[in-house]
Amino acid sequence: MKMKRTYVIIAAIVVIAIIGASFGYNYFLPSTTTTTPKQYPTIVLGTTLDVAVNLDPGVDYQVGVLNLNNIVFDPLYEVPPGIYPDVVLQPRLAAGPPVVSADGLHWTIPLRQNVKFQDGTPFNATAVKFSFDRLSTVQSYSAWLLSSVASVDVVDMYTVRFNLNYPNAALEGALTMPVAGPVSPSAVQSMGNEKFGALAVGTGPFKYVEWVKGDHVTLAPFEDYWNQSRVPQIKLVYKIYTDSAAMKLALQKGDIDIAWDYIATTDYQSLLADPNLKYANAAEGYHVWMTLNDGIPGSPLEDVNVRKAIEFSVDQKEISDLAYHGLYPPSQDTPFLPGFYPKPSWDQYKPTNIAKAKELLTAAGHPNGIDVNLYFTPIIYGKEIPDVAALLQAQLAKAGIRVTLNAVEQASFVKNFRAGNYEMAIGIMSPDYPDADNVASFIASSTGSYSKRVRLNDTTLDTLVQQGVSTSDPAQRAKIYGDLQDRLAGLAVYVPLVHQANYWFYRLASVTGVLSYYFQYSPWWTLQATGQTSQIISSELQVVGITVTLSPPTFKQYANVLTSTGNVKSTAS
Amino acid sequence: MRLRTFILLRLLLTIPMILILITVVFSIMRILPGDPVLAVIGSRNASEQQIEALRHQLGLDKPLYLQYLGYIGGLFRGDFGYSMVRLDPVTTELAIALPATIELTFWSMLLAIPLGIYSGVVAAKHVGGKIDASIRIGSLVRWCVPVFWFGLVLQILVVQYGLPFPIAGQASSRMIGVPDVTGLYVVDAVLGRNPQALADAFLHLLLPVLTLGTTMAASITQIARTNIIGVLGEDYIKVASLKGCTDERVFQKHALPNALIPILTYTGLQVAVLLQGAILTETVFSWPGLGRLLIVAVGYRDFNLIQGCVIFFALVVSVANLIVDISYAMVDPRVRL
Repeated sequence: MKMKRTYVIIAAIVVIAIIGASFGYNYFLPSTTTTTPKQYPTIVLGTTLDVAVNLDPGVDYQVGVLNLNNIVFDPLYEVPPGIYPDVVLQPRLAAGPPVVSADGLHWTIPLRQNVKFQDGTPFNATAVKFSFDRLSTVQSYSAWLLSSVASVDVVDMYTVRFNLNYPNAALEGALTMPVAGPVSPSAVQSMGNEKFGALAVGTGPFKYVEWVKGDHVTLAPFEDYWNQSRVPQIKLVYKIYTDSAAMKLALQKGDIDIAWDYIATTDYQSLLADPNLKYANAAEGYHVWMTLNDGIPGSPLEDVNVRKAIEFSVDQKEISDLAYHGLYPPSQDTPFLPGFYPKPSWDQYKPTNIAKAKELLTAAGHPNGIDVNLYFTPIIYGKEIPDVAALLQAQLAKAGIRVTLNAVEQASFVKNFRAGNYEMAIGIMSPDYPDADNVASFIASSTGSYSKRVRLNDTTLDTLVQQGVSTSDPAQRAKIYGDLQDRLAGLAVYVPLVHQANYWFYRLASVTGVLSYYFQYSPWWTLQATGQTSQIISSELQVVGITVTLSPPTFKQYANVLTSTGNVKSTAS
Repeated sequence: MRLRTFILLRLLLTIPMILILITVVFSIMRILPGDPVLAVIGSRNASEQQIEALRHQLGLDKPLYLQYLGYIGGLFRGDFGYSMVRLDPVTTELAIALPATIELTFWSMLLAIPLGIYSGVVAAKHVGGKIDASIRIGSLVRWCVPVFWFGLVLQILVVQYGLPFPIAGQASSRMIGVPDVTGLYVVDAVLGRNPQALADAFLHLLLPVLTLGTTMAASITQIARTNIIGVLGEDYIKVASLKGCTDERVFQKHALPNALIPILTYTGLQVAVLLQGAILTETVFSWPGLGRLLIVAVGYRDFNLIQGCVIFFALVVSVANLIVDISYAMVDPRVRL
């Protein structure tokens, strides 16, 4: 009886399995389709930079979204690859340079014709006006970049006039930002701002296809893009990771093709040694630096000689070698980027000189040294920051400067740093747009948000900042910003430490066309699957006659080029 | 007390519980430095005036008591407010992230319950022996090992040995043709009749489910073992043996069913632990669920989204506990007094 029941059970299981398998086979049988849309190879780019707000260029202002929107939206102007002694922006959606009125308050800009938005609607002056006007109606984290603009008028179908609140020579630089990239009025009106933020529509070479929050953004080529030499040949997936260690493992495993921002330098070594991977890099003008607050009552840092003593005590090369494994080059450079009137004003603090530091401290009335506090936050400026802080503590100790380290949680750090509450702090200097005024107004003007972090309040600097932004003549601006840098370096409130670097690691077997520019949002339209033969890379660089080199220079070579004024060549690999 | 009254009373008690929880979270988040505007744009070059203008748009410049009363009033109208960073309704954000968490926790429980019960049964059957000791030590070690560490180790092993399992994410970035119907990738792959997507979904579930499921299984093992050993010492088990039942029949028919009730009850009460583990697991595996949403919201000081996530988690735990209590009350009237 028991045996019979066992046979029945076995037979029932077999029958169910056969029925289930046949049902499953028929259910999953692929159906035939009559049309096959063009298939593009997919390149997966991994990053830890999430989409914090949304994809609307008028709203979000995070690094990841800025790079995405640089390829989905065309701003009116763009920075050409490579930096020259005087940067000359080139038109992108504009048809030529702006014509500025004598009083500097009206900028007339011709627009490119025969351009379509990704939804097929035409681009024109009305769209530009619409895009600017809507910035005041949305919760915009980026509209402040265009705060000098009072209104935009439509002159004719392909001409707009920007009316300014005050003369602003830096406006052209601000118009290279994605916030200045026109959006499709038709798409905004039909979708509403909320849905538009999920799949924003521009004129750029890529279009948004899908955004799965917290996971990935998918982009496809816009085949009707006005600049056919920039039409991408791939589908791009922007894959978001919560941790750089997982992203690194994913790259090594082949789950992603490119690992972009942010990879800790501690992870670089294993990636550099991996024969399946290659990298492209551009030393950026962005600094990791230490700020010295000259406005806290009772602090020894109120005395400029004490601040200069600190400048002389710091060994940037040791910080670069030990905290960043030599991968971020040391810097004792001006924060003014090559191409934007740089001057070697910080050379006065070279080389590291402990004896000089002690001499300055004694002259300031501190023969026995001083006690100061250094604040830092470990996450947003890189995992290496705690090591940087420890190295600074050890270096300054040699001059008798006794540093107490304070690691602070990110939100608390940002709040107190902005309020100017920190005696010394580690931060980064990161310009927003390509103009010298963006640096000057930020770090030298008494109303600048970085100046407030060090409580800098200098009327000479204020005057120079105002003169620089009001003057459009390059020669005059070069003189003004040169004087400004001399004075700022002399006040010794900023101690440059290293240049940040932008490393791309990518799999040789799956992707080419990885270009890493200096002070540039990433030109991801050049990415290609290995084996593709489009001329997109060479056409991209022929715009300004850049020579494509097969092997990027080492960082140290690149750093040498960076510290001198003159041409800085981009590289391709 | 009648059962209906008991249930009603428990439901009503949930309201002040949620209110207290929200008040605590609201207060803590406002006391902590930082706000959504500073979190999104604070390290950039925007001026204080521009930042204040953004705060005003979000209503963050209002007195705290007005913000609190406005929020509580909205809750009673079913309005959880808007995410202060993402600018979407909080309910939309929760609805987008919820399927991923359901998928992870469902498959984790599907692994944890049979694995935990089976291990407990085997341990109980060999009580005092080497097998029992091995299972007890193994489950204890697994329970003590942090969830996130275990997950990281699995990721490293996969890469080190070139195993064909994805180490992060819910699905392959290269997968196409999967409709987004439920947000549960396994279900959507079936609905889309896409066997590659189905296989891909399961492969992506493997490591996170192993991580979270084995954590739960470890605790279930301990409880199962203890309960079964306790039941095996009862008088009715001795009577069954004396009546001539085989050991196997005594175990299957008498011991196990009685031991299972408290085990399953305990499992239901572990919902809170599961959600906590899901937060860590989702972070390690970049899994786009509620846990990771909460972590991101805390990082950006998105007050409304944090409060919305906390309310949701609290409701889930409350409902789970309520179901357990009601089932107990139905079985044992003494519980209602």
